[in-house]
Order: sequence, then structure tokens, then C-alpha cells
Amino acid sequence: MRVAQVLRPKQPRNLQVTLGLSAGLLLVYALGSHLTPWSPKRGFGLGFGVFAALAFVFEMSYPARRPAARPLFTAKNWIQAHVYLGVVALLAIVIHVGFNWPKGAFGWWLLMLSVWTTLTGLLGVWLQKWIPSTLAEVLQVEALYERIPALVEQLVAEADGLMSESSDMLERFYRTEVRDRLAKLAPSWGFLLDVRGGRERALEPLRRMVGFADAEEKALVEDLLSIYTEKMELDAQYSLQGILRRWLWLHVPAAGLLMGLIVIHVLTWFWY
Amino acid sequence: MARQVRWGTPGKSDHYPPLRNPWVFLGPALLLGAAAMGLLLLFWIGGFRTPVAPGAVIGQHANIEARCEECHTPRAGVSDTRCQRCHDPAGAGRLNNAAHVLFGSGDPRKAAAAPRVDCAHCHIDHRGRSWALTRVDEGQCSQCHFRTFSAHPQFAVLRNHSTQAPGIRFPHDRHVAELAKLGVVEKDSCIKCHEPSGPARDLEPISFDRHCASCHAKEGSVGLVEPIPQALLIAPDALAAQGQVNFRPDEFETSRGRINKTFVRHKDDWVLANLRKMRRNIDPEGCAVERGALLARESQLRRKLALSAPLAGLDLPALQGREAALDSEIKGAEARIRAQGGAADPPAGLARLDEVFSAVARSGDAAAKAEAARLRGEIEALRGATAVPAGLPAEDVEARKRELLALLDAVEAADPALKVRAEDLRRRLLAFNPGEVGVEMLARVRDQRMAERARVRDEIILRQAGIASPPAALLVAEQRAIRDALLETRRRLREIGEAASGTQALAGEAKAVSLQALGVLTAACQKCHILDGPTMLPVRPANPVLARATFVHAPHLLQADCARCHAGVERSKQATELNFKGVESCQECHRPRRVRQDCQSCHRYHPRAMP
Repeated sequence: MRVAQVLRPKQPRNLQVTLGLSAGLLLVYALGSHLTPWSPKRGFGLGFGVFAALAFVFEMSYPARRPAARPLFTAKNWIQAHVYLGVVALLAIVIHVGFNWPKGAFGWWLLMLSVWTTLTGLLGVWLQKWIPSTLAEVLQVEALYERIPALVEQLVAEADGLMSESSDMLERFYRTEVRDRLAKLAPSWGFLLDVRGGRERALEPLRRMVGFADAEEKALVEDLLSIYTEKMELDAQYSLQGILRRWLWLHVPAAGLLMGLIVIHVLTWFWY
Repeated sequence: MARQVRWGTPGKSDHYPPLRNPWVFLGPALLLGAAAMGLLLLFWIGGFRTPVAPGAVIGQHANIEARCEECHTPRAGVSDTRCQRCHDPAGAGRLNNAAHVLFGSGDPRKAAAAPRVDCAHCHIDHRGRSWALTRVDEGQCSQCHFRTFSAHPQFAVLRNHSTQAPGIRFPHDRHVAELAKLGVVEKDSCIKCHEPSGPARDLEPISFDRHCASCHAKEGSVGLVEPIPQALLIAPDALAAQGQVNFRPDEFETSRGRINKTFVRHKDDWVLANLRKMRRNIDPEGCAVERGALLARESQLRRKLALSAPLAGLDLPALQGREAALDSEIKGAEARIRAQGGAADPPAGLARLDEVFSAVARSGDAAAKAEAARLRGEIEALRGATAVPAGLPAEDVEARKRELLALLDAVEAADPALKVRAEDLRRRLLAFNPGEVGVEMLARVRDQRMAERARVRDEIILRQAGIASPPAALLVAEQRAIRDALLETRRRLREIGEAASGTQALAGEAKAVSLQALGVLTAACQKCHILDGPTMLPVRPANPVLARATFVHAPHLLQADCARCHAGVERSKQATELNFKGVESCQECHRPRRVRQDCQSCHRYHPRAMP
């Protein structure tokens, strides 16, 4: 999948609205800071802070999209709003502090968590676009994530059956060199960069065996090669689908922590 | 047929895969957020508040970092009263926006109408230990003033042609020429008299002894006094008997009822004493006006001194007593404002004295009571009049005030329990100024009292919260400044002396004789000093002409010689001539990307001195 495809927005209009809104916010900042000294505690500075806080509250309500997507009509609209508003909220935070670095640990936590949450969110957007299309375009096998272990077991059973008809030498080779690797799922981050990565090297011993086998066993080895290839595709499926599911651990807990700190931040602002 | 990798999903599932639990991520996230909140709240309750602070406070505030209440009022942010506890302990209001407007405009009405600007509006803390609270965003200034230095208006002194006379005859051209005769080149001649000083000051003040005496005094004498009729003068012996003087008896010669002085020093005590005496005889009214102004200033300074009593020194009951007293004062002021309805009402002002008398009556001091009864009689006479004479002499008012203050001292000494009340009454009495009983004045007094009450209330809250008082030592500098100003005012009052009651101004021939004698007496002085009628003008040599800015010559002299800004000064014949182009001269260097041009490089928001 080409990079341009990944970067191409699903809803160009939403991107245009976001860019327009961001430009508007920057314009307000430029005018506001020109008219009066910028302060996060009053005027426009405070307004941006309130906007960012409300935006984060909306962002945190994302899990509610399934039972209550009606305000935004569809779950797709909701995810679009979630992504674009998250980016605008980060911009609002940066404007809120007047493009200054934080001066204390609490400020740094707030800023860093905001940046982390936004970046991991954008990482998620990229993963959501990159992985499904890569899996569909490059791999032959399709499998539900939850079914992959069972499918691997089926492949092992098929290979065992196949090898039971082979010569002792081939069966010994299968038992010592192949079976353990066939039976065990081998997820890898490497599939993110190259979904077929490592396949040729892993299949090389089997290919060499084809050269030693006689005509009858050659067909068995080629079937084993096919089974092993299928298992490697399941490895890729398992790895990439796992990443697709687990990247949220990078995003959601940090967002929860950020919300907690925002509540403290707002309370201290009210109190002090 | 060889086995092939199958397209699509291999086989079918015998069950539907379960949907992912939506709480699997949200639950831990919310738990983490709640845990962070709970932890920080625990820290806060436990007094460990640094993690919640937006940043470290400045180094000078480091010892109060964990005690947020020292600066913050719950639900009200950073209140000025908390800042003033340490930074304006005398409560003089020098650091507020009204003082800034008064300093800039000199107009009390404008100052009274000035919008309130909180300290924290400009001075932002929690930006780290090394931050300086004096670093203020320039944009704050442009809220009321011009935006860039290129738009800086011409200096007021040039714009209004309001050069204050230096009170001395000083032609620069002659002095530069004389220095040239001594071999001093023109460009160095300025610093022969205008000596650059240390970094804290600009130029050393001109001094007769250091800069003038070498040419203008021969062996310490600036000239002599020709014979003057003795009857017009104070005898040297009589003056010497009053205290230490700087003349000797052998400097005087007396013959045929006339006295002359053969040796006149700079600031000769005998000449000055006689000058003041003659002035009192020739122009008693002018003397009285000057004296009245000095008395008014003395009164203001005494009031400031009384106000500067530290709240830190009062215990809780005393603070509560003061709050109650201020409440009553505010109510009284409001009642008087309502009663006056905009018109000046001297009887309302006199009514305030009743409060003083009632305190005296309660004190149990017989002598004080008798004195109060005498004063009451005089005031009753005024009250009975159809119209209170507007021209009640300022000196009389001040004399009454002094008597009442002495009464209050007696009250306080007689019954220490009345100390707080006596202090409040003393303040109110000192605030009672002649000609200032209008609504505007009352409103100002009410506002001042309200501000003071806010401070007292805040102090009570802090005491109840267990926050210790700031050290009383913080007050010392401000009180010393007021005391110095008070001493200087009293010295001038002593100098000017007191005209005998009912003195009539000299007229006709007697006046002419006196003026002639005055001319003879000050002949030596008038070589440089200027006599305006019977008054010697005060001398302000090298007086800073930029009243509201700080200009230090030293760094500028590193860049250019004097003539760069003061072109033509060597040809100047009048001391009033500035020989200065004005702000354009500054803008030649102070411009973007060359030399800093921010407001703070020349100006201060807060007036430097309190009195």
C-alpha cells in the first residue's frame, strides 16, 4: 500500500474543516495576543483551555458510540469527529499556554500526556488504514483473530497426517525441524514493515529437502511447504491483527490519566 | 495434485467469536485517571502541594511554596491583599494602579477613577525558581499607552515647554569658555561638573563646594554684605544664642546703626536667617501659604505613618476591633455622602469631631475632658453660625488637630483598652483636611477605608487559618522613608518660622526700604541665585527633566559624547535651555534590532518613593 493512500483522508471535507478551524484558532490567537498580553488564566487563553477540556471530555466519550451514536448519526462520523477534534484539542492546548513550554512538573505531565494521547491516536489511524489493506492485498489467507490458534492446530494435524505416510528420514526431519515451529504461533513486529518478511528464510530448509526427496516424497514435502506457508500467513495475520487490537493500550490509559489530571487542573484553577 | 495455500478463510468456525468487552480498555483508563486524581488529592490534603502546582514559585517565594494560602484566596485567586501583606505592609497603596495613574498624571481624580489592576495580572509566579516577577509582558503597558517606541510621544518637558527653572543663573557658554582657558577641551568640559556616578545613580549632584567654590569663593568667602540698618536685621549674637551657626563675630562691623559683614560664606546662616525674617515682614501671606502647604504635608505624612502600623503586630481581638471600627467609619462616610447630596457641608465635617470628643469623654481623663470642653465651645460657636467661614485658616485647623491628637495620646495613655479605638480616631482626625469635606473626598475616604477593611478581614482569615504574620521588619524601610520625609518637612517648617499673629505686610516706603536692604543683604548671593521679590528661588541644579522615566547617562556616554544629544550646549546662555532634541534623539539608537526599546528600560510602573 502506498504512503499516499494511507495519507489520503476518508472524508476530505472533514480534513478541510479541521484545517480551517485550526487556521481560525491560530488567527484568534494572533489577534488576541496582539490586543492583550496572552494569559491562560483569562480572556482568549482561558477560552482555549475550556474548549480543549470540553473536547477531551467528548473524546473520552468515544466508547459510547455503539449504543448512542445517534447524535452523530453513525459510528463512522463519531470516529471522524474523535480523530479530528483530538488534533484540534491539542492545538487548543498549545495555544492555551501561549506556545510556551510548561514551567512545572504538573504542566509537563499535562502537555506530554496530551501529545502522547494525540500521537498514539494518530498512530492508531495509520494502523487502521495500513494493516487491513496490507493483509488483504498481500496475504492469501484470511482468518479471524480469535480462530487463528484453532486453524494452526488444524494445520499441525494436517501436517502430522501427511508425514505419517512419509519415510522415516522425512518424518524425522519433520519432527525435529518443522513441527515445533509449525505448532507454535510466532507473532512478530517485523510483519508491520514487511508482511512476508522472514518467509523465504524459514522455508529454505524445506526447499532443500525437496532436492533430496524422491518423486513420491517430493509431493509430500511440497504439501508440507504449502502448510508451512499457510501457517506463516496466519502468523502475519495474528501479529498484525494483534497490533490492531493492542495499540489501544498505548492510547486509552494515557487518555484516562490525562482526564484525571485535567480534572485536578480545573479544580485547582477554580480553587486558586 | 499438490496442496495450495487457500484463498480466503480456511474452514468455518463452529461458533461466533465473542465481541470484545468495551470496558477492557476504558475500565483501566478510568481507574488510572481516578487513581491519579486520588493520589494528587491525598498529596494536597497532606500539605504536599508541589505536584499540583503549575510550576515552582520564584526563589524569593520558595519558603512559602507549600502554603498556597499565603498568596491564594480560595475561590478568589491571588488577591492583592495577600501580596500587600509583605510587599506593602504599611498599606500605603503605592503599588496599585491608582498610584501608577497618580504618578503619571498627577491628577487625583483620574487616579481615583483608574481601573483596578490586580498584582497577579502582570506579575506571574509559578514559572520556576529563576524567574523574576519584575519581568512583565510589554503588552500590559500598551493596554493604556502607545504600542511601540516609535510612537512614543515627545517628552512632556519639551512638549509643554515646562522646563522648571533651575533657580540659578548659569550660562553654559561662559563656563565652557573659562574651562577652555584652563586647557580643558570642549568635549571634556561637561564631565568636569556633571560627574558620572555609580551604577545605582545617574550623575553626581552639583555641589557648590566641589564645582563652584574654586572660582566663586576666595578663601571661603563669596563676597560681603554692605552696611544695612541694624533695626531690620537679627543681631548676630541673638542668632548665635539660638544654636550652632557657621559665622564668627569678627566677620561683622557695626557703625552708626548699620551692620555689615566682611566675609560671607555659601549658605551663610546669618544671611539666610535675615532673608527669611525680611521675607516674613515683606510677604507674610506668601510665607503663610508656604507654611500651610508644609503643614498639610506634615499632616499627610503623619497620617501615613499612623496607617503604617503593622497589622502583623495586632492580635485577633484587636484585629476584630479594628474591623468593627472601620465598619463604623465606612457607614459614617456613606451616611455623610447621602446627607451631603453633592454639596460641601462643613458642619458634617465638624460632626466628625464629635466622635473624637465622645471618646475623650469616655476615657476618664479629667484634663483631657476639660480641654475637650474648651474646644467644644469654640466649635459650637462655629456650628451656630449661619455659614461656617470657608476661609478658616489652615494653620488654625492644623493647630486644632494637634490639640486633638494630644488629647488622643492622653486617652490612650489613660486607658490602654482604648488604644485601637484611639488609633482609628487618630487616623480619621489626620484624614480631616481643610477644604476637603466634599462628596468626592468622602467617597475617597470611604474607598480607602474599604480597602483597609479588606486587608483587616483577610488578615483575620489568615490568622484563623494559622498562617503566621509576615515579619514586622518588612515595614521598617517604608516607615523610615515616611519618617525621613516627615523630618525634612519639619525642618523646613522650622526654617520658615512662624509669623507673629496678625502681622501686616509691609507697604509703601517701609516695604521699599526692606526690599532695598534685602538686595544689599543678598548681593553676593545674587551673582548666581535669583531673587523673586523677597523669596530666593530654590536651586535645582541638573534636575532630572524626565520626571517619570529613569535615564542613566553612564552607558550612553560609552556610545557617544554629550554633544550627540545636547548639541549646542556650549553656546547656551540660559540655564533653562535643555539643548536636547527629545525623543527623536533616543529613537536614533533605540529601534528594532539595534538597542532594546521596551518600556521597562526607562520606565517603572510603580512610583519609586512612597511619600
